[in-house]
Amino acid sequence: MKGNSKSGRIFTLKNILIKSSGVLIFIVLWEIAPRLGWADKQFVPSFSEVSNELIRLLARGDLTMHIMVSLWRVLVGLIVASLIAIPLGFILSKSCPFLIEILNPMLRFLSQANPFTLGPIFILFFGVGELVKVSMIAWACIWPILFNVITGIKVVDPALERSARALNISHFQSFTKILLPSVGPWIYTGLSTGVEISFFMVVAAEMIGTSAGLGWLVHNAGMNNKVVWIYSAAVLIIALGVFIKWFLRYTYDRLFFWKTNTDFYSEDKEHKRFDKSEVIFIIFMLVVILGFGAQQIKRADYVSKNMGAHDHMELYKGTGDFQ
Amino acid sequence: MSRSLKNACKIIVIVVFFGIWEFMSRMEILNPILVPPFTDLVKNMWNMFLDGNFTKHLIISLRRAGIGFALAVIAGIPLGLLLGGWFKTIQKSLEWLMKIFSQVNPFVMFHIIILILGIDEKPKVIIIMWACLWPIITNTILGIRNVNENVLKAARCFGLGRVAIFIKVVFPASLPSIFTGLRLSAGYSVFMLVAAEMMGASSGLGWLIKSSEENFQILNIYGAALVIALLGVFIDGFMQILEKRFTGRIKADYLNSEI
Repeated sequence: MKGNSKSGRIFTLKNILIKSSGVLIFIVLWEIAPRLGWADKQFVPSFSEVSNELIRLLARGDLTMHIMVSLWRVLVGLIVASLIAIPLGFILSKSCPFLIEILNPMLRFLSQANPFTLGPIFILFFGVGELVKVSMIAWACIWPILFNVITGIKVVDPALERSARALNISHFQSFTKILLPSVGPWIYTGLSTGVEISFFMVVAAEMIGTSAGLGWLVHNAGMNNKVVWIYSAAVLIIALGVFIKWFLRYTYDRLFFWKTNTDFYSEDKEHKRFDKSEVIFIIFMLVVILGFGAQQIKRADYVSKNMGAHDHMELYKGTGDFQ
Repeated sequence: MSRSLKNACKIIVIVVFFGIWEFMSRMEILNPILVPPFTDLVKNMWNMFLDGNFTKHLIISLRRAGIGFALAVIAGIPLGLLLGGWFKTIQKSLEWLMKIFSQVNPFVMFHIIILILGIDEKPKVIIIMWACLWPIITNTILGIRNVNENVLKAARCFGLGRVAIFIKVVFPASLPSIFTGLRLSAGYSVFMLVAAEMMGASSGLGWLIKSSEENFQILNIYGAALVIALLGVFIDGFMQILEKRFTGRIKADYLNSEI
């Protein structure tokens, strides 16, 4: 990091140009390759075509349901996972550290159990509703969170704990003032790993068997041979993924502003704390995803139940504009 | 507490876990149709193993994962070394593009890959390769960036040339980070493999689960899930051993103390 800190700090025009050149060149290539016939137009529609289609679909509001459904699944799975994993991690490693060491191989084994292979088993227990997808995502998220909490508690600076005890701090205070700030970044790392895995997973899981969501969008477009729609859904998913990654990074920098940055992509920048308005906005968005998403899931369920066999072939519900 | 006692305890925990499973299912606390007893499961696995049916799927799956992973290693490490080591400006200009590409979910491209490459082995291998590629490249670049500058300066003082510095200092010093990437990718390869095979294949472990699910062969589902989990454990353990074997000596000496 040291070598790059000098050049990285300045956001000059040249710097931005260099950084965005890769993306720009890629987009230009994508645009001209089908036009000049380097790539088959049927398989690779040009960038402008794809983005026009995406904007048209977004403006028409057909995609809102699918986006909300996927985000809702990720968020609920994550909440369930953290409700299980965080208290479990704290209790296990605070009450008996010996137990953790003994349980470790077993936990590693369970963490290797692939959520996709557990899907059919979860179906046996929970039926085919939302619960299966949420439990698959929760399963995938539990392990990074749990392992991170355990490691985080293990590496709390013992000198800090001892000096706190010397200052005659109460248990509760030592929990809020020492344990939480030291374990917090670890928990957050676990959470963000979980988010990334589950966003990845939700798309794959929705392609295997659901009736709504981003993965379904791609799968349905593929099944109906609408290449442009595959690409526009792909662009949407990628954009969402990049945004989620940026958001996690941004939140980490704001929440744990005292931590030094050792990330591959980030440059060293000044650390700021959250404004109050930002916090309110983020909480508001999460609530919107939870509430609106749940309503959208019901709607998706209703729509898919009331669709005939023929309608199922038509994309984006009832529009049916095949050429 | 002594080490051997601890290891014994670890084994006991695993045995107890499967023992409880067996007990719950035999006493019908859990529905034995949904959760078959562990011994039945092993018996079923053994029968399938004797059939040769199971080994066939296992080998097919392993081959897909292996080829995908190998391609990712062959492409990823040199690319990472070149970008991180020599072409700093190109690396900088590709940074955002790589960030975007690493977010590309290979499943999203599944239909397009099928359109271009057909429906045989290639799409699955490409999917696995794509998922494995990015951790390897990212960690290789990260490793090169984090080489201790003092060591580099010292090497320059001894009059080593660019190539010699690269071979003798930079590459060994970035090995621990490269291995982190390799280990992550090896885990991804199994993860992606199962999903890819569940989506569209007619052989392999993922397909075995999918078809057992469709035919309501619950024993097979559990068996395949167990084998895949074991496979994951073995691959992770194997990568850990490799990591220790190659980087145990290096870690303390060269790596930047900040990490």
